[in-house]
Amino acid sequence: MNEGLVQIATDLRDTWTRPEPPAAQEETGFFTDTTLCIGCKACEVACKQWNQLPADGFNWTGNSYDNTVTLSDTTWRHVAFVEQHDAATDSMRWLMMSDVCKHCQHAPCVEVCPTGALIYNEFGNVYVQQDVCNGCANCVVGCPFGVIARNKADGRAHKCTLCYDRQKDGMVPACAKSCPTESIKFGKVSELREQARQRVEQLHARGETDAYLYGNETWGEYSALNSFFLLKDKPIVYNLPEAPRRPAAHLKRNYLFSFMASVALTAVSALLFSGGERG
Amino acid sequence: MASIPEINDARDVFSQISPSYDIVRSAQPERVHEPGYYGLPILKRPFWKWEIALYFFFEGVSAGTSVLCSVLRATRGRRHREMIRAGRTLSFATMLVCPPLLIADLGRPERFHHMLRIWKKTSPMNHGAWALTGYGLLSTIQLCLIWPAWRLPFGKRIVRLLQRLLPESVVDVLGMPFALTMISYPGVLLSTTANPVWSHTHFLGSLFAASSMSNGAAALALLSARCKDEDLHRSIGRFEDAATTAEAAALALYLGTAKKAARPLFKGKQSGLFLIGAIGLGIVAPALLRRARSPVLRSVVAPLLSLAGGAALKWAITYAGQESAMDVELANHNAPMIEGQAQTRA
Ligand code: SF4
Ligand code: SF4
Repeated sequence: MNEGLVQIATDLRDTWTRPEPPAAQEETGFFTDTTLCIGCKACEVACKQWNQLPADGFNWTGNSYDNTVTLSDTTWRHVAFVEQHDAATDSMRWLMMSDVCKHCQHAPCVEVCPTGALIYNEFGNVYVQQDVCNGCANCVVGCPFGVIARNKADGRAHKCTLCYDRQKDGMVPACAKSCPTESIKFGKVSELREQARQRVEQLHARGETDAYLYGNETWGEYSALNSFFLLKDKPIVYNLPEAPRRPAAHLKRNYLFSFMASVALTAVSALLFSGGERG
Repeated sequence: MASIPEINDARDVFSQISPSYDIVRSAQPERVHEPGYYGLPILKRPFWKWEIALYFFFEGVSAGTSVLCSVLRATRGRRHREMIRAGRTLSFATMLVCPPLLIADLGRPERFHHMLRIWKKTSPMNHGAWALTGYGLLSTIQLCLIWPAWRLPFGKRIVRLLQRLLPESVVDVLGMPFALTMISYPGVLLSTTANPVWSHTHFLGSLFAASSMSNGAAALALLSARCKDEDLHRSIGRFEDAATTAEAAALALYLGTAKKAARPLFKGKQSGLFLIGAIGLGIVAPALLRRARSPVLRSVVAPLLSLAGGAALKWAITYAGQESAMDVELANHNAPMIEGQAQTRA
């Protein structure tokens, strides 16, 4: 009885205690160059192993070689396979892309999270503090890429941590480490961006003019992504949105109109009710 | 949506653990000819379901009634003490339903209070958690102030003390911003997401707010059904008209700005509830019935329909998020594109 109470009291105290966060470091991220991907799924396996994520079953989707289908609470790297047939030349091309959480610079999931479980850690990565998350699932509807999801078994939100634990020990994230073609590159974001620009130039020089960067800089109302991609076709071909929504950009106007409605109606009620008194 | 074939394999077992696999199943039949990646959705289905839909309804009725009771008390409090007492009691009772609904919706219910660890400017759910806390507290106090202490089963001393220390008007003024926030934030909460049917508009907040106010008026109308004061009936009736008009206007603005994103409300599972329930029975019918001769139609049937309509509206829009998340086209162009900033290949 007493122990239980002490436990509850400690938990409550811990909820409102906030230790000094670690000193900020230079931002890290991924640059995923899809032109190098061979679809071996080493990243998926390495991620599952390191992060001890459960398997997704043995389902055969028939969607090319893609049997894990989507990023989820238990799949943090997902390799997409696109088979394209060009009728004019009767030729085929393969597009493969290892998808992952975008670690958005202004991440909607972070912005809507009511508990403060979602944070930018000292490496500028978007991270779910599992001891804080209460499974409200606001981040799930906030993310315009459909990355984060709530787990049925443990009730909390999960997604790529950018191997926070490995980074703390100076190691490269498991997926980047295991990628045999260096399609997944891990490093300081500033360096990766430069590297990516050079790669696009190189590809263009070789006549591959459809290569471009996705998420390298701000676009529309959306921030740049710290985990960005080199693509060869429209984003939607890889199941990425062309114009993602940043909910926080609309917050003020939504509130303004909403309060205008409720306050105006309250004023009208005051008018009507007091009018009756006199009349 | 096309019929979904049964998959009898390990994924069935895993879908018990992780709901994302429901998406896989629903997307399979039409995958080949759909735009994008095998017709798979970009967004995740919302986890917000009946708990949240009901919460929006009950908190709307509660806060709407509360605001109107405060206004009534300030304008003609002496004459309608009974009325205000009934209103406050109803407001309190509907408020009591809210925390359990919100807590039940969480993946980790025992961590509800984690929402109160911080104050977060960009998170409407965080604002809502604080507003509900303040509102709950103040509406409890308001209830204590309006019931004579001797009629309470317990806590008479505390109530008497409260009554001596706190004038009703002060509590009403303090409670007003909380109640108005309770009325204003739910639509904003839905709007600040990536879900097209909720977010491709700036008027969902106003729509929910107007609906909550008109539900509050309907609740008052019901409570005053047996009251003899014709003048009160007339004022409440006029306000119901005003609130319904505001609701219809907000609805028009919502549909006008959401455009294609409002599709799930016209086609699909929620269309009946939305068109017949929310608009037909919830807005049009009560407006007509308020002009009926029979007092029963006017002050019992009309408000009941209006309340049911409010529930239907909030339910339909909350659940429309399920279908909207599957819409690849809208999830692809989820925000207005700014000229020259598109990154797609030419
Ligand atoms: S991709 Fe989604 S989950 Fe990842 S940081 Fe951005 S908003 Fe959050
Ligand atoms: S589910 Fe967890 S991480 Fe996501 S918004 Fe809620 S508290 Fe934050």
